[in-house]
Amino acid sequence: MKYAYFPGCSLHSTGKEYDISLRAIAPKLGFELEEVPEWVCCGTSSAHATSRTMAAALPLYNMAKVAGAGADRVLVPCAACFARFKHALHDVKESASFAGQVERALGTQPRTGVAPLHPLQVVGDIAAGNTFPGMVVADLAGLKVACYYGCLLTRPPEVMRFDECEYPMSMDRIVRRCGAEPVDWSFKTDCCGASFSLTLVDVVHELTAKILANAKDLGANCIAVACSLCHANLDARQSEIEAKTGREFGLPIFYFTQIVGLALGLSTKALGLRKHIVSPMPLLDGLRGPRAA
Amino acid sequence: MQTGSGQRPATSDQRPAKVGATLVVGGGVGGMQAALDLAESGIKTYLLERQPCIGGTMAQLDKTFPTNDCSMCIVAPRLVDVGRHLNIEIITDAEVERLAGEAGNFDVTIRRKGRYVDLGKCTGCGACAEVCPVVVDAEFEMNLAQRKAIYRRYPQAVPGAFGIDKQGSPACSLACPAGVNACGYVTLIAKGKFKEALALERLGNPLPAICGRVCPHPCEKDCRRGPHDHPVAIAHLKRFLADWEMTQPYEPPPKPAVERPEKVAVVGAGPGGLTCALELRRKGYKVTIFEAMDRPGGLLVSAIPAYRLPRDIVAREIKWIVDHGIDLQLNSPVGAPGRTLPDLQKAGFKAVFLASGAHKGVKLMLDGENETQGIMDAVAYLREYNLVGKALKAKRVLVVGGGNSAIDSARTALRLGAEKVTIVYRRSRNEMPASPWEIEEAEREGVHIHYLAAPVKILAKDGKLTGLRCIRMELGEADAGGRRRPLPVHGSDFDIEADLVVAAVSQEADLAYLPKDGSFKLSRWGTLEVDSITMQTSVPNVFAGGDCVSGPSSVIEAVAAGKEAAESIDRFVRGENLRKGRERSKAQRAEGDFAGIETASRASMPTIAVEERKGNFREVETGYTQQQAVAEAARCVQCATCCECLECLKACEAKAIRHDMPFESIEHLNVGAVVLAPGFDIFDPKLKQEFGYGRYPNVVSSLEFERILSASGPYTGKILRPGDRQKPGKIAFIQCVGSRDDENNYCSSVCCMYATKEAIIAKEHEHDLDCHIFFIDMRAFGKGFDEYYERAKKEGIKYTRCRPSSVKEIPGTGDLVVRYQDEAGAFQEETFNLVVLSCGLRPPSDMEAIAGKLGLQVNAHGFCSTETFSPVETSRPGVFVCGPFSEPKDIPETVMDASGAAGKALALLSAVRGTLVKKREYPPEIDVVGKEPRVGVFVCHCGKNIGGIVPVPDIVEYAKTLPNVVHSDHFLYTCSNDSQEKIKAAILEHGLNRIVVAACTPRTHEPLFQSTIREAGLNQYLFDFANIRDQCTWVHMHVPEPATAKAKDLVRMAVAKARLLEPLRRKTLSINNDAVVVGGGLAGMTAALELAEQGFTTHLIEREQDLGGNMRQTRFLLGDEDPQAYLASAIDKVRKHARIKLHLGSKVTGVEGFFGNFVTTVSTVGNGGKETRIEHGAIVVATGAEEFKPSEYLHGKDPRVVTARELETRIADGKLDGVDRVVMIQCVGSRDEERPYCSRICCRQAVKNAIRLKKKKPSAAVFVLYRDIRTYGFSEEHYKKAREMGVIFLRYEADRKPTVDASGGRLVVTTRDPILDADVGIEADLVALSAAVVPRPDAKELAQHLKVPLNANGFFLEAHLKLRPVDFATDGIYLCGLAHSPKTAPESISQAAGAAGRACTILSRDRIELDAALSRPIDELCDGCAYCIDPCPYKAIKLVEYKWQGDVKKTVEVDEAKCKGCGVCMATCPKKAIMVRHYKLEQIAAMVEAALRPM
Repeated sequence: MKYAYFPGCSLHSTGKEYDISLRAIAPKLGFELEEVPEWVCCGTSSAHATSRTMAAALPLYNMAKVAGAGADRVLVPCAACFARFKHALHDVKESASFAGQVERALGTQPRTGVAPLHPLQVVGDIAAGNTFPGMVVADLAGLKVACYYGCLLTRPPEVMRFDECEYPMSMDRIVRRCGAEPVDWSFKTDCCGASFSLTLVDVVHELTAKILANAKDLGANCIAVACSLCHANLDARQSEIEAKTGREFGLPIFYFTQIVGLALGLSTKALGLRKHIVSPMPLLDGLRGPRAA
Repeated sequence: MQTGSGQRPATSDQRPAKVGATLVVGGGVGGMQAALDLAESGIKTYLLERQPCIGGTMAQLDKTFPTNDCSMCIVAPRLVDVGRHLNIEIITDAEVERLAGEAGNFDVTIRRKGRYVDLGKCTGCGACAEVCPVVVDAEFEMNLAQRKAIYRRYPQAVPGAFGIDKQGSPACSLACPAGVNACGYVTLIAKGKFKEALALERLGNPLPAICGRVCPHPCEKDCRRGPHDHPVAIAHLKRFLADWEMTQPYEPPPKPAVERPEKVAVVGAGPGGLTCALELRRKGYKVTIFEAMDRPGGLLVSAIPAYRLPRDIVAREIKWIVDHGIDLQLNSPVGAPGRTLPDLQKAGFKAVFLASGAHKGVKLMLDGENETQGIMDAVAYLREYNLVGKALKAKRVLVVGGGNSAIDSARTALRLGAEKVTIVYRRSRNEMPASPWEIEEAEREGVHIHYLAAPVKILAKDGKLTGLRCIRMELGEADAGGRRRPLPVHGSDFDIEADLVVAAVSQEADLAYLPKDGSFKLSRWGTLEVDSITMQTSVPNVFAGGDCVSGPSSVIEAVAAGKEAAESIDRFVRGENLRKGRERSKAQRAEGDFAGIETASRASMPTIAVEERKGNFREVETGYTQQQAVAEAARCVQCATCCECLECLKACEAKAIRHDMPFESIEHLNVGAVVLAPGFDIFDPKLKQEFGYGRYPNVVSSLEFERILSASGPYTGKILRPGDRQKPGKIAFIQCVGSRDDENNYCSSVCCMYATKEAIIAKEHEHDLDCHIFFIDMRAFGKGFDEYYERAKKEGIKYTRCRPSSVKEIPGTGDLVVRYQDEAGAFQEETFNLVVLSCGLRPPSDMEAIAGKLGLQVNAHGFCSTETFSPVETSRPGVFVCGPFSEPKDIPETVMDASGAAGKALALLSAVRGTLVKKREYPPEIDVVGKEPRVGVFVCHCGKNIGGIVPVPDIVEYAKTLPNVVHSDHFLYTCSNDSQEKIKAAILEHGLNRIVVAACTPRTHEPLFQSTIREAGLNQYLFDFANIRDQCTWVHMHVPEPATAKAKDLVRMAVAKARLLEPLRRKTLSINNDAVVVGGGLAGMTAALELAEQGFTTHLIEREQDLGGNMRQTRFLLGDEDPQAYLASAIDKVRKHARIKLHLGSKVTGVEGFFGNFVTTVSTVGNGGKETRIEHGAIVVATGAEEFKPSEYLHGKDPRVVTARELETRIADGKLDGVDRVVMIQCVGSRDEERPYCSRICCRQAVKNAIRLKKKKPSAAVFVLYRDIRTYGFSEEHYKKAREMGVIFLRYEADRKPTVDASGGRLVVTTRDPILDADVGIEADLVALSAAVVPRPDAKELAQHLKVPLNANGFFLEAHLKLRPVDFATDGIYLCGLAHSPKTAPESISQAAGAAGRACTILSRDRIELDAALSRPIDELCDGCAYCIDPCPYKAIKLVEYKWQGDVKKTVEVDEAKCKGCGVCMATCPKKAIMVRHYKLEQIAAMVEAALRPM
């Protein structure tokens, strides 16, 4: 199975480990990624905040590239990119006049036949399959994972049509199939502060602290995410929050693709696990290691 | 099933005749009301309920709003009424499967689940539930408490019979060849009931000790727990039972219940023979077993080694069987001279069962096998040691084969001192037929297994074996049996040295003992051929089973064969059909529910160490300890709920348990109409994950909270939270869960009020409790609701207008954080101890299936479709609907609908009314007046309910000592049918003329006994009841001695009263069948038309000259229907109807008489007041209401300020020039101090006007200033639509009402917006005031004529706000429409039809019987003081004067038709001049005296 792949800016930069680990598990799970040629910004930050037309035109421009490359499904790992793609499609399908505006901006008719997919969907389907347990070679028992979806992946539900909006389970199911233990907690879809990371750090501290505290309180020893911005806030801001609140969390933040990779027996290096600020190595060293054959 | 008119008689014009019966589907408040109305009106009624009892959701509620009545207290009497009704047949556990035919004549197919309890016999004593070992969550308690597998939903349930919850058959018993009910004994083990478990196991399999050790237990393979973690260790548990029994003293088995003269012979004392012999012996036959060997057991003792099956175990098990009285003859081979089969026949054996086993070993078929010393077959090898005791010494033993006997041989060889034991098997381990645990143990003990190898040549030297040449095999294609065929690999030969080869290839039956005349047919494998079901051989009186038929197989297969053969032989001897009913029907396999079941691994079987096994035959497996067994048994998931342990059967003294009932059955009913009242489902709060229901234990649904509040609920009325059973200090209620959202775009109509009620009641329980309700709009639109809401606020319940966005649990505490926005718009996070989700009402989850089966249309919200002007009719003619099945609604609306639906069915079936109903016929009464009282006292044991606490025979003896008691007796269940016959016989035999029953409660059983004595010729009032169960043994169950004394007191009091009882005659009244309807508006016309259609002449009285009332001003509706067209057609129908007599321009000026016999005076208004007197039987009040004329907001001062009704007219007439800005102000004249009620319809009207205005003039700016938008039910979608169309809704607070100012020329409305907390000024071209609905000023006058009450607001007051919404307390007078309270047109129509339906229950009769226990004045004592008149709640007493001895004598008269016998008059009379018969002063005094003076 081959998917067009839209890494977006973050997976080429701050979220590099997400990109590395996704690319690492893909062949193991039996799919291929082909990066969309000449992709451009998805429209998340500035366009989204300034021009509704532009915010839709940019993803649709990228989807046109996908279609041009002969694909009809594009894998979009970044939650913000993914949301943008979904919104753009939804908005032009909802309103013919808006579609007209976008068409004028694009200079061509929007291609709505391309389906944006999130890796949670693709990996989730494979993990649910009968062959997956045979692929799992490492024993992740002892890894207690708070699966954090963030606020963008599932909302608004009528646009995203992704999992159960308020209490999604797709990542939890994957984690369980990998042999780790997902934790039932309360902050799966709460906001981490997202792009206020640079502008209003206090807000991020406050929101992220709640997320970390609840995960810790409920016995998680790590958090899994599917969004590079969430990762940045939870990982990079963790020590500041610890300093501010006086509470030590010590929660490594994984991309869920890294947990899948660990289960599949990939090395920490191949999964970019050494790039995290809160090092997962002590936690991983404490696990029982490779599963007895 | 009795269907009333089983055949469908056809009339000459080919149209099927109408059937005077109706099916009501659903036994909640709606279904019960419809059933009662129909049955009372002469229609046979079937009440179908899918639960085991009727009562619906109302029975689960704690209290009802707005009166805080106990829900159960008001619904229970109705349950009893329905349950007792002669013409209502309750069909429980059933659903409609198909509806064929047409209105007037339907054929209904129903699917009924087995109840497994005989409704006619069960007395509801509950002894069964006490012994039932299966505990499951109680649905009635919303899973907050538990019940047994045999259960009654709640104590007051009707029918009161218990029922068994069976979800099919347990997989284990279906998998067992002998059908042994493993689940049953496993469950009993878990409860520590080992003896019972063992007895149960032995019913299915007499060899627990043996099978517990050697059975291959196919049951475990199918165990439903298996896929979850590990199957339950059924065989080990079975063995545990047998081991446990060994620790108990030996108990000889019971003797057969009957002895039969016939003799039966059994050949072979192996498992098959023993089982068959036992089964036959249990049936009473004389059984002889002929065994060739010197000991019984067959292959169990000759082949299976003792380390697996110790010999003392086998011996004891067989002894128990033989001790039943079986003649076991050892060393007696059949076939020997004098003991051939013909000899046996000659000796008088009626039948023979052959179970001779398969004792002949099969050889390897290799050259030199017979000549070489050191080769033998496994049967011979094992027998040599086991029977003869000879240990064949060999150093190197080679076993060929892969079955259990190969393993047995190998492990035996090891124990006999072999140094090396090897097994050669031609396939791989996967295909090996031996039990895997046997293979494992063999390997642990040191047996070496050569897989994929087969012997090809015997290696010998000097005729003595030296070894075997083997060849390697590989697996090819699968053969017919599914096992892969082994194929030799050429050139792979290898040798194995051995000095003994044991061929464990197979075994054969040795049938040499049979006659060689060909009379017995054999199979090509040399086994006996038998019929697969009957086990009969080709010789009719000879049956066979076990290994001699099947070839080598398991013990349990032999047991199964023995059981089947015994059944056949019994039938054969008795000359019955051998096959009938024995084809194994496909039983329903239970699947089990694994939700919430924790993983738990299976208890492992302890074994002795490998080293300890050397050189001996000690048993390897040592068995479970008791603790292990109980824990392992508790792993059973009760996949079928009922485990069929049969404990209930033993406990039931009424013999009501029927485990042989079918799992489900199909039945047919023939009815003329169908009323659907299947109710609703509560919204599943799990679907709103943001509130965490299902994840957080302290987030509960509203119905769960009802149970928590209930005194009979899971926490006996203590408010505790489920998570930790702690008292909550702060409770949040979240409204609109599953209502008013995108998926459920309707309002569930009841949640605002039930949450308010729950909060009020919770605070009544715990005064310092904080209750906080989060809501969107407070929809307190019903009668008395707004007053209730105001009361809640006064009592400190906090209301916040917000739908919270999330609930999160605080780790460790179970407390919950609710995140919401306060009125000022700030986000708040507040901690609560408990969160209650006010869940909405949904259509039943199987709505689609119901609609499909019944051919109904479903609306956009998934509820049953109805039309605006026909709210109780479905899309299918003849099928009517009531209650929340068509739209979410409250109890009174449901009850109104129900009576309306019943009325519709009555109109359809008016021609066949009375054709299928039963009447009771009684013999003439015996005259007892003036005769010495002869009292009979009957005391009930009520199973153990009474008899278990007080010594009933003592009470009987005591009763005999009481004055005038000439006979006393006791019954296990006095209410059972045979007890009634005995009571009647005793009355005749002893000449009894007063009867006392000391039993449960008169509430449910008095009418039964009254009927019984009436059947014996005694007047029914010669009966009295001593309540020694509900009021004695139940409440004093822990103090039997005082309870006994009290029981005696109660009996003595009852006897004291009984001696003074007098026969009373019930008066019958003739009924006038005409009706009067007062009011010619929508409700009145509807009621009149319904009554006329039901066949009654109806007088319609209208004060105006025109019909139509308020409806004339209704120009359009929320939907597209044209109200004026409907009104015109209704008026036309009324005017043209032959049975409607119109009295226009007239009003009621006098009403006399009572129900069935009213005389109403009607006078024309003006026009000289011409009077007409109408005689009639019932009266319907439908006098309507009117629009309030406001004086505020410049109404009447500025023409631009109009009422909503005036606006509607202007919109309809298109007079909108210059009207571009409209402001509507809600609640004008409603919800204020003067009129504290909500006018209910104004919000809809405002939304309706706004939408119509926007449609006509999209540019118009429309503002609605409101307090709460109360668009309940489906009108919610119109509210949403109005918002989407741009109508602006602005809320105002009651204490900061808007103002209207015209001083500047233009109209300016100023309102305070609570969110902005600022004044908003709106310029308007038109201001429309939503004025209140107010009662008619002349309502008071009519109420006085009718002597019926009005409520504080001037509306007529019904008999009961919930369950009697169209009745008055006075019989024969009914109420509908706006005169009752503000309501919509469809609601008026439904209530009017309901009033007509209720009236029919009286009008449909010719005569009516009154109760006789009524008040009667004693004229000579009465001095006419009139003290009694005012207190009479029924206005049944009046003062009269007459001339007597030249004076005016004043006295009172009681109208018996109105009197209810309550006794208030008797209590007020200073002269003892008025008495309620049957409760006369001297009767009560006698009881008091008896109470005070014990004998």
